[in-house]
Amino acid sequence: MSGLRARPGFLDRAGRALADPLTRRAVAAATDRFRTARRAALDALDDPEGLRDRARAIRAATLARLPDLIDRLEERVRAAGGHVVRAATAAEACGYVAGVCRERGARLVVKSKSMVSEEVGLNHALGAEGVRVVETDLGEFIIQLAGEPPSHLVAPAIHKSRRQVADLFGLASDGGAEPDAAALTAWARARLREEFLRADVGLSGVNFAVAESGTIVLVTNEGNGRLVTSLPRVHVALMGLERVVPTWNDLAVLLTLLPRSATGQKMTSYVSFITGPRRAGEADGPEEFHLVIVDNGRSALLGTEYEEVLHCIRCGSCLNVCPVYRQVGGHAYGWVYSGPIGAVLTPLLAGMETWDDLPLASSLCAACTEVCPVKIPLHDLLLRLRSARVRRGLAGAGERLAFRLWAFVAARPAAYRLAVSLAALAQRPLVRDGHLVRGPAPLAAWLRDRDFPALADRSFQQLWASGRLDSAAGSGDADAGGGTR
Amino acid sequence: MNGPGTSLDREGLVRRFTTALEAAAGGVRRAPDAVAGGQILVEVVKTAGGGPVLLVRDPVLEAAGAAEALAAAGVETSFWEPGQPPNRLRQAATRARVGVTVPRLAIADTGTLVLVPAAGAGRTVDLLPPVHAAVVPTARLVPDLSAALARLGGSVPPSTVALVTGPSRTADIELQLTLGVHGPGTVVAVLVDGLE
Ligand code: SF4
Repeated sequence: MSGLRARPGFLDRAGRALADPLTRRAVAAATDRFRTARRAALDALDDPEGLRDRARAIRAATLARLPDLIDRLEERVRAAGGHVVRAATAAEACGYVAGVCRERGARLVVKSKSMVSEEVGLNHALGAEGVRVVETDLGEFIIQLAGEPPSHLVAPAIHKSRRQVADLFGLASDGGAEPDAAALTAWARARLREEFLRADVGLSGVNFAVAESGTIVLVTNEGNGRLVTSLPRVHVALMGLERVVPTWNDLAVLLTLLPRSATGQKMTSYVSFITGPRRAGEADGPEEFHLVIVDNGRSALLGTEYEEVLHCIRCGSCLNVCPVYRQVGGHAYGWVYSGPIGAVLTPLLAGMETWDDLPLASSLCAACTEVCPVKIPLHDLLLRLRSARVRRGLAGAGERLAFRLWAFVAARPAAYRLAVSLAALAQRPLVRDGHLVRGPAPLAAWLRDRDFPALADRSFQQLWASGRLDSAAGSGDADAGGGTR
Repeated sequence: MNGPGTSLDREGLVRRFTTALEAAAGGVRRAPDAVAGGQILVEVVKTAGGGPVLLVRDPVLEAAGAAEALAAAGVETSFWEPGQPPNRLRQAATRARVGVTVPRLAIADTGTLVLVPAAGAGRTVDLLPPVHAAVVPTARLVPDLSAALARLGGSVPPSTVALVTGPSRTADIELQLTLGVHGPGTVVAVLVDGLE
């Protein structure tokens, strides 16, 4: 569909993913599980649709006055004794965190899951400063050892088998029994517990930030988010600019939808609300709290036709229902975010020029839009990105020529009739069982993995003119009714 | 947010809380009064394999005579004493088999314990030991998340509030549910009547 590309793109990565049966099975199993659980959890609510509408309204109202809300958030965090920094770029965000580590002489950072930190390349930046960063979410820990990006928003290591995990943990069994998930988890618990107790800085993401009180909210199941924000002397939280919500009432709505949409849980095992560092008289907790508010291209989307992508609460539902994601998994998307939300967000944040083929990785079936808890019209956004791609001339010469030809022929009835008759003749050597199975150069790539119904011997227009449409339609021809025949 | 909410009576809240926490792989016990609560706590600790037990300093545990009951049963106990250096406390939490907390609130709809740290209640008492036992006066049950947040939120919330719903869990390896990955693998709520 995307024509021929000089550099590796989505199709190359997808090809690699499709060649890996293990990953495909794992991704399918995980997405099925999440999908089913999500449906049950939403159905159990009194008025799921009403709640989604409220969530959407909250997100829209938030973006409409985002600068004010960020000001308010900053003021409240400072009032609670925390530091706030606004990072316009990835480099600024990394620079600030590196500075905090340098000033405190920190060598070891424990980290709970944060997509925005992966977006800005924080681990790499800290590593370059000689700071060791340990991912503590079990899935993130596994893929950190493997040196791979996450393959799913909620379950980053679903593509790894037990045996692969055992190898990564250095527990390769020499012909003995394969360690089970419980044994592997116990090993990781003991190993990571030591890191928690030794770490100088705890680094977390932010699921929501409540502007009225300067509170950040962390949603986890493992409890690592709480350890990261409780044990080290310094807590640094990274948030995308758009994570803010105005009030606790608004938060209640979004917090009701997030776990139900993500894993089908009513509530995750742990939800933390953190407002500044520990206070006088409290027994423990970090002495310093830093909130890094990352823009990195987000505010440029405000007021554009793509603004709604900033509604996203990163639940992963759209991945789980996407027929493309379910086949190729997260790595085919090439960057941090995958699935429909990745196909929209990546070109917008990381550059249209490099990522223009991602919006093509969709059948536009709109399953994503249907499940999105905040009702982002994902398939519309994908279409808008596609047309932007054409407007910018990124579509490739072959595709442009083909559409120009089509426009010419379709506007001229005589030329159209001639073209259809010629094509019906020309296709004959390429047809098997009523389907086009091979084709000349521009079609060859498309037909390599698909069949296309062949053109009928007599076109619709010919049948219509000869008055034999009824008998043809009633003849039991499976392909009757095709409008262009 | 959903359900009939505040019109439910205490027993209704207890039932909902129990169903929800059990669905989240947690356990629920019920005590008719404070002293019975202390006894049930001893049973919970014994079922978990005994001490050491680390308790928060809280009037509810005093009313339940928790420390005395545990000591009488021969269980090693210590308190999260205010004013001790954090490292000492952290060591106690790391050594303990059972951490005992007193939640500020409990959410019936989701089976959630709402923990707020204080001078005598560290952030990790429930988190570092492999077993978490919470002693919850039934008067502290609220129907749902909105009701809980309405009491905790506002413009100056506590420095940390932790919502705890069942044990620590992961399904990151081959989608197999595994409990106790970073936090406790066992969570039991002891609901106690007759306390505020
Ligand atoms: S776009 Fe919607 S469905 Fe997809 S992750 Fe974001 S909130 Fe969830």
